[in-house]
Amino acid sequence: MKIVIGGHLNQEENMELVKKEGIEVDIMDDMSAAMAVKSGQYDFYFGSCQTGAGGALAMPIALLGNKKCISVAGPGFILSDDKIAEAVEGGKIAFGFVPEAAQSVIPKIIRCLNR
Amino acid sequence: MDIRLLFVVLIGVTSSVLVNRDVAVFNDGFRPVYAEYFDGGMDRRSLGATGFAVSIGLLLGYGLTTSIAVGILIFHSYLLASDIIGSWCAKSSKGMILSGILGAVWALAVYLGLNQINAFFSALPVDVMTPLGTLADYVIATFPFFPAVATAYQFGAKKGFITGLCIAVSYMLISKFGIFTIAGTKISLSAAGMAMLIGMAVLITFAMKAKSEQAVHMDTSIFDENTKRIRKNMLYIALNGGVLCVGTALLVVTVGMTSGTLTHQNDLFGAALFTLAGALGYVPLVYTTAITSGVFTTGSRFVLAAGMFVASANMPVISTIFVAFVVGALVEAFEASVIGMVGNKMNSYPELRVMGNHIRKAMSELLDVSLLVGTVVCGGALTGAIGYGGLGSLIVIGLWMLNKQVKKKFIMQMVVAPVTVLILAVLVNIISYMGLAI
Repeated sequence: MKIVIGGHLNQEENMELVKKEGIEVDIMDDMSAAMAVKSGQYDFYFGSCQTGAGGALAMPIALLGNKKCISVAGPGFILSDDKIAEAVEGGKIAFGFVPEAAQSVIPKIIRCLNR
Repeated sequence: MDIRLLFVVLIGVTSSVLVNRDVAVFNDGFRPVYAEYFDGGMDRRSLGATGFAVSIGLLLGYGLTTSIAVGILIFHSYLLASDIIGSWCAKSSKGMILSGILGAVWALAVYLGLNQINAFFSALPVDVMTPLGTLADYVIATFPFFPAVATAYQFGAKKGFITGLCIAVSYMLISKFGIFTIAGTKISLSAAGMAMLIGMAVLITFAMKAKSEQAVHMDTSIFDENTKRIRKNMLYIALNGGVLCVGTALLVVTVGMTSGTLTHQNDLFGAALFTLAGALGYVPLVYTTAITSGVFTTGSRFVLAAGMFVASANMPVISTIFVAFVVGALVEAFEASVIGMVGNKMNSYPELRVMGNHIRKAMSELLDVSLLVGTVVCGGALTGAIGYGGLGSLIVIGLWMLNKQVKKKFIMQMVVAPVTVLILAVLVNIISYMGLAI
């Protein structure tokens, strides 16, 4: 499994969090990252921005389609573990979240992806 | 009647109608969804639901709170609501009329509401306006430095220091020598604005010279239909741009904390330069989402920058309105006509595209830090006025630290400190009223 970090904020921190889970990971600008997932170079896309949905997911939504993308944490909400599992099973491959939620949601998403 | 009210209403009407007709939307996270909606993968109802979901938090937690703190409405407060209204209303002539009416009502409500809030703070018995006026002092002092921060993010700390040094030195030199007397009138260059421009020039030079290793090239010709769609709607987009430009020139709308505060201090030229630099930073995000969706933006930062430039010329109101409308419409029409070309160009200079992301990040993080410092000082001044010394500073930093640990944030970290200060301003009056001042 290979993950690419796009989005606009918190890229380095997100990469470290993914590395901690023992997953291969790289950082790219959001458009290149979304293209790289589309072309199959990477399996999943993670991105952060201030809303967890705007800059974080704009490019994957445009290039991969809204059905493959989900905002996991934004201002005032954070998806429950069950909802995250449901999203992964439903075929989501690009995940957006606000930087302050990264620490809690990244391990959860990866646990679901590993299953 | 106050002519400003007319343009408040027009901003609400034109923006909501453009969203309703699928011509333009403001939220960069909402725009890409349209690709799927046009393909038939999503019905109007889910589109409206998505528009609400991605915009409401930003509208309440950032747009309105920032507007109250800075005392002038930032464009998020109007345009995010237009996104919600326009996409919620059905795409029919009835829906279009309804979205126009709702857009007008919302715009008037937030404009008059903010005036009421401003009047409320000025009327408080313990003077809070003087401390609140200093809230963004450090934002104003430090904004020219963002190109150095962006350079450091993109090309490492060493190059960041070089850019920083250029900014600091040119700030000094322009402050000292940038004052001319031409035909008896004293003209002084905006040292902050010019220093920022020089910083931008250094950053862009680094970006042009850099060789990119890993950027993926994309064939943008697959999006030709989308750029054609945007060009086809140019007239409507230009009309909206003209209205927004007049609104900015009449000071009923601004871009954000920095431009709003510069506007208050009557440095509209500095506000315009800062907004222009920000607009460049937003080109990659806004243009690529527009090209991939066929939907343009209702809030072009170039138009708002133009409005500030017009306002800085200090013309009579009627000329300001006329000039701003024409300039705003032309700017927006120009953007709509070159968007495809810019998209292609960005492809050949991937480092410039990435630069946009770093500029936005640098602006927002610099704003975070400088605003926090300003609010800490301001909080202390508020409680100091009723004899409680630095208690306000303790409360501002305390709540800021604690909010970082809140998982489901209702308000964004960035606006926690200003909101705390506003609450403090009311609290010190209550405490003083209860006779508890020391």
